[in-house]
Amino acid sequence: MLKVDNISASYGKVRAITDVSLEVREGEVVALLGVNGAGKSTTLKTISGLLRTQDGSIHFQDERIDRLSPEKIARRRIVHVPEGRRLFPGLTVRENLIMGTSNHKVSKVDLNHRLDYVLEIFPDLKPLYSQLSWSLSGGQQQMVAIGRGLMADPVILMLDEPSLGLAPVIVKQVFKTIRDINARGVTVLLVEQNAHLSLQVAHRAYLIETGRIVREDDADTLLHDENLQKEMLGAGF
Amino acid sequence: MQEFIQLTVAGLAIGSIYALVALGFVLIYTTVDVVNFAQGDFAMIGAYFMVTCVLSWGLPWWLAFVISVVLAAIAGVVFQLLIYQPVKNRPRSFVPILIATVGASIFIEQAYLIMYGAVPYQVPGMFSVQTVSLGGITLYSQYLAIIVITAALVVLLSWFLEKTKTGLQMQATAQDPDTAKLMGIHTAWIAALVFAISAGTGGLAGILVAPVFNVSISMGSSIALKAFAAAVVGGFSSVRGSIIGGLIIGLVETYGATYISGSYRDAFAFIVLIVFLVFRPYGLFGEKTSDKV
Ligand SMILES: Nc1ncnc2c1ncn2[C@@H]1O[C@H](COP(=O)(O)OP(=O)(O)O)[C@@H](O)[C@H]1O
Ligand SMILES: [Mg+2]
Repeated sequence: MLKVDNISASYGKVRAITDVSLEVREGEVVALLGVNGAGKSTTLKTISGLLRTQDGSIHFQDERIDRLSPEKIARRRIVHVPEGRRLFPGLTVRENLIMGTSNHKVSKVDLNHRLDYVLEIFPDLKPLYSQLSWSLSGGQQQMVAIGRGLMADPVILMLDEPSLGLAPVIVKQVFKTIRDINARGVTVLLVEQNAHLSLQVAHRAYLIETGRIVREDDADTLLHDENLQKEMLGAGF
Repeated sequence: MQEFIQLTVAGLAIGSIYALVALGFVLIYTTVDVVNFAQGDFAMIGAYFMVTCVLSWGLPWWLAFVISVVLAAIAGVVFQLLIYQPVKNRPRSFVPILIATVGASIFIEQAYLIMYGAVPYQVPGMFSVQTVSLGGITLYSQYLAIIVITAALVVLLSWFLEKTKTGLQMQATAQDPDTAKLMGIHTAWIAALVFAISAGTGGLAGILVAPVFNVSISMGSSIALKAFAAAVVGGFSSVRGSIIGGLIIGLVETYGATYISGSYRDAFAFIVLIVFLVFRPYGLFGEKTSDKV
């Protein structure tokens, strides 16, 4: 469904990723794992169009998308939930959620259905509905960020470090939610440093190191690989 | 007492004009991060559209008013296509855009000088009667029109920004443009819309003030300076701040000119501006954003 072939990208003169290839198939949860600065966010930014690729190609449902603007990519229901939640601080929770539907036309009825759907997944958001989003805790903000992504009716949801900076209990909850969302038919590309928890929800995973993919394998295999545990020590194992 | 009320109405009216132009400054600044030094020229452009509609074509006031506001808004869209879009992606684009808007302002004013000449025009106000008497106090009808129309516009604009999806998308783009793009918000279209609204409100200011000040090439820049002060006083960040900043400048200037000295009329806005820059650089309602101002 999503196929990334040998892409490279830079910030100015600084190369951030080189020859990255990965594939996500329909219905999967695929994890992209690596330490801080490895190039995970950069990879997501090139897929969602925020950053131009220098080489290679990106195809989504057999259409080449690596020259499209971020708005057009969002309209194809490729939904990127960026690192650090990035809520619109001066908008309320409800307004943030509504902004998620900016990639397609929704009727009032559909809008309310989607809002109900998000509340069903995150019932804790209900009492916070009319609060400005900057006033929420990190965990609450993450729920809104994922909820806002779901409002976009994603075919593929790309989550950038959803567990970053959250309390352990909340982290467990976030991973459980990812499994729920996937069970409802959404394909997920999950970027994480927390390899252990990610591999428990993912079907497959890619490891990225200093801008290059160094390994691809089944999540189960990786989960029981002792070498990997040593390699990624301090990164969530 | 009668004089005080008349002055207050005059101050609120002229303050409304500053507020409308300040609103344009602030909407453009918050949404696309540009201080548009050609903002006052939208007021001038609107007023000259009025001159053409009323004096050349003989259209009735209301029709001329609507046409002129719409044309000013369209001028704003053209302005952003020609001035903002080409330079917005330059590295450290703040300086190139600033220079581009200053250059555009000079160009627009010279072009209008060639088209309309240096002699000011007089255009009629909204009402054929110049004054009305309210509770025994004689007031200029145009002042009342300015205040009422500005108030109506502010209500409409607040509703648009806070209650419509497009208005929320404008706010979202202002707060985090990259994330707005990820949500599928067409930020280039939002930028065009912001310039249209800002130029439209600026044009509206010029049209409303035209019967009071006369229409001249320099009207835009003198309004813009006061409006800029108003925007700073209001914190350069919100509709509410712009309006209150505009009204403060308008009142201070009008009271000052009458009770202190008429020949320093134009100095009062700058005294307020300097006081704010020194003691409260982020304005009445702003966060600390004045480093870019
Ligand atoms: N905006 C930026 N400007 C310059 N360099 C950047 C920028 N963002 C990331 N980088 C660099 O690109 C590399 C990859 O970063 P990133 O993709 O953010 O890593 P990760 O998400 O895996 O932590 C790092 O070396 C980082 O310093
Ligand atoms: Mg990252």
